[in-house]
Amino acid sequence: MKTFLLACLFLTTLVQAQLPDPALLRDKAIVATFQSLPIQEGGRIKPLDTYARFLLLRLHGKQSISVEHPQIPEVKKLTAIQWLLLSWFRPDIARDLPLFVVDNSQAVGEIGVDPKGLRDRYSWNEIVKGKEELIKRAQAYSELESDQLTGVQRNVIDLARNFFDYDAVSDFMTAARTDWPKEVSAILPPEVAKNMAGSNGVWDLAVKLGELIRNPEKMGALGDAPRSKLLELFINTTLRPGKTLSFIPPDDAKNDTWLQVEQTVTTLMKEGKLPESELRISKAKDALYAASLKTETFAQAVKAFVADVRAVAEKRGELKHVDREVSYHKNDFFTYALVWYLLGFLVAFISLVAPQTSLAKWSARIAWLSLLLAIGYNVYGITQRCIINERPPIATLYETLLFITGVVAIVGLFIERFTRQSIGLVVAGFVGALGMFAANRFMALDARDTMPTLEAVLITNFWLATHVTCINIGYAGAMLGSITSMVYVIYRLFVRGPQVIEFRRLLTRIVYGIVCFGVLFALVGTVLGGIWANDSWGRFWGWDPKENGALMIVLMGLIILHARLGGYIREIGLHALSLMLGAVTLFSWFGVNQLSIGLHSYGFTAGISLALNSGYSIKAIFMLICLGFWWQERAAKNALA
Amino acid sequence: MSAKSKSFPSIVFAVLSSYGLAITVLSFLLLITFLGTLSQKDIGLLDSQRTYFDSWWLIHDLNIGGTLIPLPLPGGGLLMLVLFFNMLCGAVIRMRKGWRTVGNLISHLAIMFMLAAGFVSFLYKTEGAMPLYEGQSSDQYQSYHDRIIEIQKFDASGKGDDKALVIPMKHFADLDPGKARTFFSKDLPFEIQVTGYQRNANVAQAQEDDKTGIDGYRVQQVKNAKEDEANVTAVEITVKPKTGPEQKAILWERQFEPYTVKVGDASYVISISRMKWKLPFAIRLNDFVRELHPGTMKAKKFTSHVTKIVDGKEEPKVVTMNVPVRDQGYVVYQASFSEGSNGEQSVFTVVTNPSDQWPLWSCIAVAVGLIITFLQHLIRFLSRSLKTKAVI
Repeated sequence: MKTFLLACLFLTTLVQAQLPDPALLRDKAIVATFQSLPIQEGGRIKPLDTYARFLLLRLHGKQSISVEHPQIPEVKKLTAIQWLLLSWFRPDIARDLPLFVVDNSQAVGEIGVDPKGLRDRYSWNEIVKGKEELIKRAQAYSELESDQLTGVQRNVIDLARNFFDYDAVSDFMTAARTDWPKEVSAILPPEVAKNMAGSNGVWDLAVKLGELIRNPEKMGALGDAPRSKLLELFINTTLRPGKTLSFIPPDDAKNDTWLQVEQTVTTLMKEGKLPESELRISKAKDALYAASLKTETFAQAVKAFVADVRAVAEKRGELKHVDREVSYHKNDFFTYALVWYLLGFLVAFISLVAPQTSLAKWSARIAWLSLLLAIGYNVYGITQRCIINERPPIATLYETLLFITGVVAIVGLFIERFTRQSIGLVVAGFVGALGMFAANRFMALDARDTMPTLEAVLITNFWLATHVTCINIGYAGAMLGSITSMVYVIYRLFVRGPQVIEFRRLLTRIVYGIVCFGVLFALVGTVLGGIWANDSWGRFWGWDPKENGALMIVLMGLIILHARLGGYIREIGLHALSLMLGAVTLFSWFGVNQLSIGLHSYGFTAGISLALNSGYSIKAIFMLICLGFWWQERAAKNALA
Repeated sequence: MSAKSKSFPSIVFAVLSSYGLAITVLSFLLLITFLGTLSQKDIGLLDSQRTYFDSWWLIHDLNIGGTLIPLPLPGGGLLMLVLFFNMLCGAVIRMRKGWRTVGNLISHLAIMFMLAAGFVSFLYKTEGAMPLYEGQSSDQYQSYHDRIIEIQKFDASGKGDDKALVIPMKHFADLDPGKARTFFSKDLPFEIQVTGYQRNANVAQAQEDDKTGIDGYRVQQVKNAKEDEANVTAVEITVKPKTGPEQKAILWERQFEPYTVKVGDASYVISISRMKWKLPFAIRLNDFVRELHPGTMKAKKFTSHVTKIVDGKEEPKVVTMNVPVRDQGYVVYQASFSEGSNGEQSVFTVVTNPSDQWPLWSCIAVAVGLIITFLQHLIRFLSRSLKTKAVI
């Protein structure tokens, strides 16, 4: 028995020796080099790091993955790029990791896999047990109308997509791992296989197989069974995994579509040749695996491979923002902004509740500093995005969150500069933290690249810079006014004392000013949108839901201004209507997108219903409290009379 | 002056110029915009627009716990008209004129101008599609929504003029099955009775015992498509010559050949189709270029290289996204494209609108007016804040 165990251990060690050392895949220099590999996805050139982050975010719900595996006991967490490298070079480990996030465990139960809790995670090895059932059910559910699908059915469809996408990703290096002479000998007749026996790797084999395929007589003589086995082998090891990544810049400078291994290998088989650079890079990718088996060669091979791709990309003028994008993600500006906004809010709150004390004075100073830092991170992050995208700051719903948060915080500090009552600080900090948190959650729920290429009609920097920016400043004004009104309501509810009335008046003046500011931008932005629509679609106004949403903000703003001017509303009325303006803005900003109609495509809003309804409800509750204040004031007046 | 001594016109003026009216109108506009937006999910854009925004009044079915409560509301047309007069009386005539109000005056005048632009556009704008294959030319564009019944004398030589008698859609769109209307013209030797209008219909074979069938076919109602462009309209007609028997026929937008009727020695072709307009120039599509984002099916740019032809003179032009071609009051936009067996087809939207650029001028004026007003408020707010601080 002892001898048997020793033999097993020896064999295991032998097998391990043929696999790359997982520690190599976490080596800082190697990881950094891989991060900067330019690839093409979604119509643009981006670093491999971005690809890894959003792939992991889609599959796992996070941009890092917790690890507990006997083969890498020292590792507790992997970053996205480390996880991708592990999936490529050591799928035997990666497929054990709890990767696939499933919202409803019933979806997993449906395919015959043991369910865990809600929003729990499952490994490839767990899901593969229900693979057949997963295919069957996902196909059946895909045939149903989208609006008739239940949550569980959606989960099954998503799981199937994620599982097979990852299945292909984890096979990315399988062609390089395959013992081709052995595999081919097992399929083809000996006399044919003999000619292929000397083949090293899929690339040499592809040339010889291509010759065979181009000769119908010889190919026909092989018989159906070997032909289909050969095809199956090629599909599973090379073609399917080869579709996952476009990392080969085309040799033809006029062609802007980067190639995948699936394309280069197919071209090689069909035509028997490939442009030199395409073949070199395709082969170099497989050579990485052989290099990974030896610690001393891997770093050098990775460096050479990435440098080669980058050099070709640079020659084509497509490398300019790759490193900036790596740095953008690495620096995580918006998380830092969130932290500083939150700190600013908490400190400013102390200043607000203990006014005219030295504590308040110091708190305000710290809050100023903290919020300036937060705005710095916020604005710098947006600027980096503008440079990478080569366009103005807003073209997607995610970007509206970043921009509006920044505008609200800046206007908040501007208000604070003149009022010095800590209101501006509190509001700036609160909205800043909330906005950054919402942006973070939005990105996680959407799980797609936040810098997508734009639809044809949106590719106009003039209108993005004018109409879109204006309308979003309008949104910012409306939201800021609404949140300041919430501060008013809370203040009125909980604070008593002689200074209360003056402070409430100040809040009212601020809200009125902000509403004016919001209406100015919303109105001009809406009309500019009409002019853009007139240039794009031939009509100034088309009653499209997004246009209507913008109009509703303008109308609500005008109602407030006229009601105030006409004396129909005073303090409480202004705040109640400002809260309503906030609700209207939420509807316009996110609500209309949920109708899934109209010409304005701002992408994803699924899964935000709860947040949106909570937003409406909070506004409604505050409006009801305003109604209570009004009632109370009226009763007091009546009593006096 | 007591309320009793006020004359009726002054009361009307007071109401028309009041903030109360402004708030009421704006509130109703807000409400119908909201309801009209939500309704688009169920009834589509065109019906929603006609019901809520192009109307004088409407009945909205308010759904409360599954119970539909009919709620009468003023329509967009009425509200915008009242708003215009409200601004005229309140913000132009009644408002004090001075430096403090100059911003308000400008912005209100500009918004009135914008409403006027909308009104002119509503009355006089024509809009339609002109689909062209590469090498093809046309000087016509056809409406997206308006249908017509066209009656044309048949000329076998093809040399006759192409004048046609046209029955516009507004004269037959209300003729549901059971309702009929007869049309006649001094140029026609027959009357034509139209009935059974179906906005979206199919033509199917009638059962043998179906007495409502016409020549073995009958019009079958199909649920209206939300996108009106997808609807295929049908009507039933009866041709009534002064002498001789009546002839019944089905007119359907998708029929291959128009209906032909012989009355006396002459033949007439009758069809239902989209309203067409003629351009003062022709456009030939030379080349259509569709650029996609690399490696995706996402459009990056559509460009049509066209030639404008007037009296044999040719002028090259380029129509692309966000950059239309304007000429003689007509604007040609790159709308979309389609791929068929004959190759790629570029679809242009052609618009003629007398108030085309009015919103731009209005926008500039609104912005100037609002900026003046806002700055005045801001300066007042800041000076008040600074004064308060000085007191403290």
